[in-house]
Amino acid sequence: MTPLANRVAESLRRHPERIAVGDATMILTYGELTDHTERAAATLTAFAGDPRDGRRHVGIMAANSVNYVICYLAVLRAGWVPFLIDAASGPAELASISRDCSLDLLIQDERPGKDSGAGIMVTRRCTLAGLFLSALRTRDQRHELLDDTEVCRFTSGSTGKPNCVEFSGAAVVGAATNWATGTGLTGEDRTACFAALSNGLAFNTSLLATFLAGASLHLRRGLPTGTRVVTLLRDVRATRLVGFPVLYESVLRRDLAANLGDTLRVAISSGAPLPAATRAEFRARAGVWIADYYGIAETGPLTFAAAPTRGLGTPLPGVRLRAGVPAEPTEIQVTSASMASRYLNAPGVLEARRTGDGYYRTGDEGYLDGGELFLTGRTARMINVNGRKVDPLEVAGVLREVAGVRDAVVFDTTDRHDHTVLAAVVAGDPALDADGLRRHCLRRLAGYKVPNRVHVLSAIPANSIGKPSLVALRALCTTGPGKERPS
Amino acid sequence: MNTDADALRRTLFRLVVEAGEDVFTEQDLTPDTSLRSLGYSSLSYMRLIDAIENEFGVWIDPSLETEGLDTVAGLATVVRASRGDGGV
Repeated sequence: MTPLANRVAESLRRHPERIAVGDATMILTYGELTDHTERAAATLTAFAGDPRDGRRHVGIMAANSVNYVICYLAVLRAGWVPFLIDAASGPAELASISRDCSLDLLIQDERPGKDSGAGIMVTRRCTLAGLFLSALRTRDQRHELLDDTEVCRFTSGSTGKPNCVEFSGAAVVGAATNWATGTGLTGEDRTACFAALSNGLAFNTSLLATFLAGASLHLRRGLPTGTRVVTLLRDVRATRLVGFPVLYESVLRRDLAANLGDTLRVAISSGAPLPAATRAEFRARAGVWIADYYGIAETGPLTFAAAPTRGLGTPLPGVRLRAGVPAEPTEIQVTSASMASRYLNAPGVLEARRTGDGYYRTGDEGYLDGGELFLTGRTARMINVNGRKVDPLEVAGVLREVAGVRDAVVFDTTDRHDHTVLAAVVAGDPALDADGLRRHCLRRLAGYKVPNRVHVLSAIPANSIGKPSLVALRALCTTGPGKERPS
Repeated sequence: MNTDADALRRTLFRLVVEAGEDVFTEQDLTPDTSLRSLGYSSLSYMRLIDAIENEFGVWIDPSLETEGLDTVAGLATVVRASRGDGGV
């Protein structure tokens, strides 16, 4: 077994009677999870050949469930490499990932067709722990992983498509153990997790960290509405809650926060800035401080703010930070015990972000004050849409594929609820319509990457040096209904 | 009965627009307009479900209701079913 698979197997064996993982339909003890994992690993190897033939690249593209966890652990148990793909990915994104990462197998919630219509060719299928396992037709050119890579995840990168991030087993274990140690996660904890397991928030704080600590992980899929969140917290008497800021806002809108602090010890928010008013109101009503977690796909978790503070907290074990001072913020640079190795599908891009002494340049700006990290802005171009990173160039590139489109600019704006939304201004044929452009994006991209607002103009407004004028573009988007309806 | 159904629908039209992101008005909506096609986001849906639950005292589980949440007509059916007044 690989080092990571060994470490996981050890953890699972340690507390066979404890609850390990649950979802809306089933709950498994560590002993049962071990049995299910062994059976699924046997099915995998029987389906896809002798593991001695080489490590299979196995995409997992599914919503949160116990079966997802079984499949993830089974891939590790088989000595192969799981690629955790956002379940919201569109067919074209999946096809691109499959091609760029030489996926051999794909595990999904839904039974796939022989040809997904986007270039994924399925040669054989079977069921695996309640999910669907497909063998994919592979291409001649194979993109090989580094020898010590044991898990791959994806991030909206700087290359106009999802970057495949390679992690060694040591980095994955480092992220989990340092998170558990730095945040006081113990075997008595019960974590309620609504964030997708493919997302860094859940991957780093919930998946392996929970199992290494001998704690319990309770998963739900779908929208984390306040009622669903509070129902789960009460059903499992959760001590930890992991979610994006919108989850906490929903609990407050439904006025359901009262007394949550009776069992809830730690509430974790990440992915997008949590409004100060939300944090204060949740603390007043629930009696629980919402702790910020700052982490980056390429580095793993970096800081944690356990106690009330205005910043992002102090570095987790194994993390070293470099940033500016309060009077002069600079780009945040980090090293950690959970650093990614490289991007499989973008050679040299991650390496180019490393300094000569091995620090990763995050693209975020901030400063350190009293050992605590404060974020002041970003130097990178990613747009954070409620916790999910969107590369505007990727979306603009997809819009430019439409016949009649001459140019497209994608940018962020805020709606009347003060949430970040994605907007696009397209230059082209006046016959183009916003709905058609959005439908094209939806066919090609994950839903959260589809611009909420689309304006069609004859030309992109430009500033005096010919660059798109963000001031003019954003002004277009402040025109609400009853004034100029977006075309 | 029709009056109740009309009142429910009118309230849902209002809540759908309020939870949305400023890109359409009630005049742009029919009972069968697909909210997704109008750019209704996951965030809008969360605000809408919270508002419906607060307004009608029901619980809607979006992980079980998929198609029903895409139109005002579907939402009305879901609300009536959740209230137990025979909407399915």
